[in-house]
Amino acid sequence: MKDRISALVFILLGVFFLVGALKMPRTTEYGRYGAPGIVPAFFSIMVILLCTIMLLRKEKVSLTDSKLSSETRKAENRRLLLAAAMFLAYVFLLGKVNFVVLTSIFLSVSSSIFFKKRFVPLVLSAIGVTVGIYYLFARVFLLPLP
Amino acid sequence: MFHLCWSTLLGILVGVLPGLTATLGVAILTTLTFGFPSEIAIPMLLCVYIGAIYGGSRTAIVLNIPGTPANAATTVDGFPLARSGMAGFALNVATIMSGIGSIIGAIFIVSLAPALGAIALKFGSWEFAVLAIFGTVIAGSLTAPKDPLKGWIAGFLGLMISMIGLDEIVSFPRYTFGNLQLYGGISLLPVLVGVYGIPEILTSLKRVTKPEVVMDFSKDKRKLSYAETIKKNAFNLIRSGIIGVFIGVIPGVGEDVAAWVAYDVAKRTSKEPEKFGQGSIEGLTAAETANNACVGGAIIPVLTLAVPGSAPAAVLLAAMWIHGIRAGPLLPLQHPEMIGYVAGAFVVATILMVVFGLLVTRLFLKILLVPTEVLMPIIFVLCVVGTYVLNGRLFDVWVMLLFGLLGYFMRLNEFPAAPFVLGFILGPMADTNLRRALMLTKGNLAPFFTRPISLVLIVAMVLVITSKYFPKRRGEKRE
Repeated sequence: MKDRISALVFILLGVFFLVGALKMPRTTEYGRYGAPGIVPAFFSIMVILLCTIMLLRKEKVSLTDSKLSSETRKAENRRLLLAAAMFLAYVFLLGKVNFVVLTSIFLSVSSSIFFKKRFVPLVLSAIGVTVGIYYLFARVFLLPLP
Repeated sequence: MFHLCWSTLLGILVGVLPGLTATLGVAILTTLTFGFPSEIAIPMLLCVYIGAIYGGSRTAIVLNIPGTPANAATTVDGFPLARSGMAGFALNVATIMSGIGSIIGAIFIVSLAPALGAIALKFGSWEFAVLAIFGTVIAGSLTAPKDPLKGWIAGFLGLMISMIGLDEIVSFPRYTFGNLQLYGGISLLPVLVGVYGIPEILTSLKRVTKPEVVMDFSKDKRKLSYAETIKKNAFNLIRSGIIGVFIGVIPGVGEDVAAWVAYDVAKRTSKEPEKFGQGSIEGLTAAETANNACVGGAIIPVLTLAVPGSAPAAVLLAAMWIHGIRAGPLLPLQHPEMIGYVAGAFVVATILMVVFGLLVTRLFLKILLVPTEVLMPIIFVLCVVGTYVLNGRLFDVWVMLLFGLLGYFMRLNEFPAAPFVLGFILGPMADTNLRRALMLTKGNLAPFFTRPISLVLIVAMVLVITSKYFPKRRGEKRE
């Protein structure tokens, strides 16, 4: 089932690229073989073709199927969603909140959520790491930070 | 020298930390070297690359988790050795063998690269177009040996997505939807950091179970001295080094495959094959020599063909472009000193790696006491900052997240990342050269099959596809 879903997702992506390629100009000042859509069309057809083979073949048994209990799986999914949400929030707030403040809060909160021990040392280490990153990028290497 | 020292240490540290790969290490350091001249930046990146591939052996031995995928074969004998009270001996043997492997790689850079460069000078548009597709297909086959179809799909997805942005012949904006940020295409670094870094971080954070750590160095139960060990394994060492180099030369295969192949050959030819998997020094030697020798091999096609031999080499290639060095067939003409220069940097990096490896890596292992849950958010911040400083725009960070999501989806569904990245890198080369070739022949495809190098590449590609896929299908039918 996993293979069929991924095949369908990639076929849709391939069709999207193919339609885009077909809408591109068919000829240029270098003639029709310089047309910008030729190669994207070729690659998207290859993706569609290969994914169709995967879709139609007999379903393969996953080689890395873990034998986790449903509770462990649920716990893992919860942690995954939480991590993804925190990452999105951090990137969304970048540039809107001061980098040192935002990163210190992000590191403190995420570390204490996932590593449920000793809040104060975690906060102190988060501030230390943030200042270290800021100093390294902005002061030593003179690179711009958000 | 100071910069080489700290970048080697950084590389070892990246390798020591499970979840951080050499690719990510080179990618993150690339962002830090923007302000450096290329003659300092490229050796620094080499130091990180070599250091990280070696550093992964530390965790493979004491933690039974390969620090980088290249050290997966090291766990098989490294961890049993550590458990039997030979952790210190195993760590030092791995250091020495990695050093010798790197030197073998450097020798081949000097001897093989000019010859390959001379062949590369005969390449025309037809050969370059076929080479780009060949590299992607081979990478797909070799990085997904159990299901090559997924490797090829990943490769063609990479080729397809690389088409976003202005095309190089008529400057037509492809798939940009009027978004000015997309006119310049998608930068390689956000894609790399996204595809490799984010899935790794998410996977580590969602994991609930904790690994076993063996960090008792007090006992020394070894039977042989280091000199005797090298002497006893001399043939295995040289053979594994050569295997590593030649696997490294194949585009997109990388250090993990090199280590496994060398390990397999060592086991098949060993007088004591029953010891493999139980703590065999032969097995440890083969894996560690081959993965470091592979680094040298992977750099040879980067320098001569602009085709990366492995994922970290792909980032190195991108870094070379960022620093104004156009690697490829014209490199010997434009930068004649570069091949010797890279080989020299390789030797210096190896010496530093061995010195630091023997002196300070046990201290580095203390970092393993930092919980993953604390470390991974820091790595995420480094990924974000590293991607942002590339062009100073948040757009790249969102691109990184998007490709991180794609990378995670691909990992869940067992699609390898290496052919995707390789396809993304080789896409523009395939595009420009395929269209140029078609324009030269007015649409005639015959030169692809009549020019010798192009024909050899096509035949090799067909052989790889038929040997990898069709026997599997027949096997399935029999079952």
